[in-house]
Amino acid sequence: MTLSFLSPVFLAGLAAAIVPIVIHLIHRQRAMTHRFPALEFILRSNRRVARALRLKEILLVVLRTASVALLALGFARPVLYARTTLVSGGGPRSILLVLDRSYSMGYRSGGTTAFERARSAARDLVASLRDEDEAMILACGRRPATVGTGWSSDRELLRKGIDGLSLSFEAGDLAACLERAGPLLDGAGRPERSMVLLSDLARGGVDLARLQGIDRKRRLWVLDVGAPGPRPNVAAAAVEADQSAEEGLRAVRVRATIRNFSPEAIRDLPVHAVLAGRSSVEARGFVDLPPDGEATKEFSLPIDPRQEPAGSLFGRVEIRGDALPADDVRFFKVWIRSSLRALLVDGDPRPHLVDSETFYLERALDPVKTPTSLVKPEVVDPEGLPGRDLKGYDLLVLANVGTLPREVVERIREFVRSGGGLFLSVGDKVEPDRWNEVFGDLLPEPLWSIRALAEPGTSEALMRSVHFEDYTGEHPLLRPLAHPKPEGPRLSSVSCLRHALLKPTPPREGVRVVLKFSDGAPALVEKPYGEGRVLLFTSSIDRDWTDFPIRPVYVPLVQQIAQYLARTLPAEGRREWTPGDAPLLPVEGGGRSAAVSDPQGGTRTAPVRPDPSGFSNLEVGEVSWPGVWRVALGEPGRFDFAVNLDPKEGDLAPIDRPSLARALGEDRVAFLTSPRIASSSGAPVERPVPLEGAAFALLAALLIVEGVVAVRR
Amino acid sequence: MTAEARLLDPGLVRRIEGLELRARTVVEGVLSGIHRSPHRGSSVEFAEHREYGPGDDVKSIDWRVWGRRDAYYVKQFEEETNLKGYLVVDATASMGYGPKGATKLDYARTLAASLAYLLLKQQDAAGLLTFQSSLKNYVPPQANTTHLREILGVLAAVEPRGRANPEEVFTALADRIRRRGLLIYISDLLDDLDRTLRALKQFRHRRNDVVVFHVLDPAEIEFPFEDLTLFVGMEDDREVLADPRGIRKAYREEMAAFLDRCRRELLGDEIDYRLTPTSIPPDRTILDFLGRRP
Repeated sequence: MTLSFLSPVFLAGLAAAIVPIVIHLIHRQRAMTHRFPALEFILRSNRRVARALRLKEILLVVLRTASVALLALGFARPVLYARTTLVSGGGPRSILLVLDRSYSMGYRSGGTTAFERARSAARDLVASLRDEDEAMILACGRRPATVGTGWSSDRELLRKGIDGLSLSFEAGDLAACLERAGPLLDGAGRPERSMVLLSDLARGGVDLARLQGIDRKRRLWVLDVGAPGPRPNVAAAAVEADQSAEEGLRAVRVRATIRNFSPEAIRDLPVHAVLAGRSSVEARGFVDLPPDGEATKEFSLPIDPRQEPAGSLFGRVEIRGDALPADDVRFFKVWIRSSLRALLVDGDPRPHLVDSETFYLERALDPVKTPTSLVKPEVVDPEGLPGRDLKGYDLLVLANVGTLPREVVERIREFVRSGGGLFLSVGDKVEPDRWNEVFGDLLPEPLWSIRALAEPGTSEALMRSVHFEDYTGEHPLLRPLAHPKPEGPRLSSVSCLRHALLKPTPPREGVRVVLKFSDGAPALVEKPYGEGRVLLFTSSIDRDWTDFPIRPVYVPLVQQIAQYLARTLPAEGRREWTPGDAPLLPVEGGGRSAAVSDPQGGTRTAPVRPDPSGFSNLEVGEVSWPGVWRVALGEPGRFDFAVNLDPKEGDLAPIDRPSLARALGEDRVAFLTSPRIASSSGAPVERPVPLEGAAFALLAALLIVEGVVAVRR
Repeated sequence: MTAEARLLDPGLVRRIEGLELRARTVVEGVLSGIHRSPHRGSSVEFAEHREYGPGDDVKSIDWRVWGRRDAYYVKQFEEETNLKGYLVVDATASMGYGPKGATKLDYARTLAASLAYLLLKQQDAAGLLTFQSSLKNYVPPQANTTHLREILGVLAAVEPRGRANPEEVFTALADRIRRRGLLIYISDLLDDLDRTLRALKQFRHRRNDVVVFHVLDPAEIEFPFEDLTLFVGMEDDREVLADPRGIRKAYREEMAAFLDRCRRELLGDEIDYRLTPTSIPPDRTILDFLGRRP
């Protein structure tokens, strides 16, 4: 029988138990003095009642001291672990062995891991079964799964199932595990049914609130296989990485969060960051960690954007190994952007540059004009276009270009077909029929007419103008602008007095309206063309027909359009997943599949399936291992992703037993002290008996007695 | 303010004026009055014979009885005389207990002054004796009203001090009270009770009329204290730390036993005993006293 305290810090209050004694002594010292003639009577009275008085005094001091001590003990939440015996019934039994294989079970102490101890205990439990008993093994991490074919009396088969289990990289979820266990027990074949949980009871994997909602009708025996005593652990909990704009895109900034799950501070913990580009780049540093706290370490890993192709790079952050090495490394993906060359054809050049068709567009694409600017626009007029080799560009903009020679248009077709991006905007140089004839199938939709709503500067302009509709969809071009913040740039701030109307045509594959005006007319329409893309803007890209260029949303939307057309936008979707997840990666176009390679060297074929929103997803399937997963789809590395452990499982401190017992049902839970449950004398168990209620009840009783004794004459 | 004015409340004087102090027994005196004197003088009626003793006047010898009995006998005569009252006031330290201006001694002073005045008013003799550890003041009894001033002066001047020595006090008292009279003893009786009671009884046995006014402060009777208190004696250095709530019951029992003993023993010897808490106005005390006297 052992006594333990759940909140031992309150035991310091025991020192206050001396207060009643001190008060008693001070009280005696501070008695008032009174000259009295009949002293002899007092002396005689005192002699008569001295003994009773002294006893009463002593009793009061004892009661008060005990009351203060009980108050401190009550708050310290004492728990008595009483060893008793659970005698199992004599009839045939069905026993569900629930084995925790979350990654915290990999904590090594005394030469073994908790998982190895759990497997050993499971083998002992199986060996102790009787012939009429049956058992099943349920392996639990994040997703519980049964082992083998279900209920079995074949001890050899059960033992093989146990041997075949391996530690996972998943975080624990005890509630999900017990929820799964209930129906399994309901399907058991023996009248007496119970389950044995073999776990380290790490609190990172226990949600007490969820446990309380689980069915409590089955008896549950719990065997704590975790390391006794403190379980200190340090984990690489989070990593963020991005290309540093402050350093001119020539470095990757890595911010690593290291968490200390122990009550001791740690100084000078080595941290190592590696970026695996064309050449591997490393950096080392040290971090100080407060007790039960975290710290952040930043690295700047240099890259040469001219050497590194645009796309994803992977890296990792490592800390010095400890008794749980699984969470000492964390992988990250960083999207590398390189410069984008854009050729802008100004269809309406003016002597005053500010009036030119591409004035605002050019500045929106390259606001700061530095040698390492992301977009490098060049401006020509339509006569200068034939002399340009389009192969050197990523993006071609035809701004209010009314017509072009046929051979130039053909070269543009080839450019887009080969993967280039084409952006078309209309204006006063555009005549719909002529335009349709010149550009033909390059256009997402043929123009119908130009709609003039009002003249600029008139009173009608305010009332009759149309606006962009705010976007709430999932198109990668506009997703960053969807759900705008109150103070952020809003699409609906853009007003338009003239725009082109498109001919209504049957829906064609790949052609979609990305953005609309408030009157429902298309504003931005997309069409895939070969390997490239075409975007048609049905108004002017300057201020002739719209105030778009002077709205805050102009620059970010123009940048997005450029990156989208040049296919240099980062791949959509999460870059990081945890073991047990089944990632869905947004891709374009359905009906395909892609090869997925895991960090262990295995490969699988993942299908691409469309979803109701019109986009498609690559269904990778469950990911089990941490590391870099490669997806062979589209540009190399575009859809690759990192899998990292859930850091909360790194909190290895065991959940306190009384709280666990209360959450699971105190009347049905018992803590085993050994894995034997079939001995004739029953299973030795420890039952936690919380004593705080008794302490407070005794305190109340003492206070009542103290009150009675104090007033009694 | 004169001592007289300070001690005699005019209202008190008016209320007791008209009352007469009567002694229960015949007393001896030098002035005429209304009391029967046991002293057989020669100018009054013959009462009885007694044997001649040293000190008797030879002229009182009844020679006819000598002729018959061959022994000397003297005649005793009834002679009417005034009361001789002796006011004995305890002025020991314990009498100084009580609120300022209302101590036991203050009360005793007022009581004694009132009684002195009453005695003198009815042409009885009044004397005063105060004692502390020994006899402090002695004013022989006289019957003139101007004598009051002297008595009051002594009463006003005495301060509580010391501890009583009953042997010495009552020996001195006995030396001065040669004739039968009225002994009014005003004290808290907190000194040696056995000796005090014994001495008072002896005075009674010598056929003096003895009255004891047992003056106590109500706190001494009720013991109303609450908090833990260090009680310090007033006539010695003893002290005791006590919880009054814890000992109150026992104290009251002790006090009750003490008072009961005083009353029982004094009354048993026909000594007029009166418990006199200082909470009772002195005039009421005297009225009660006079009202009950035959």
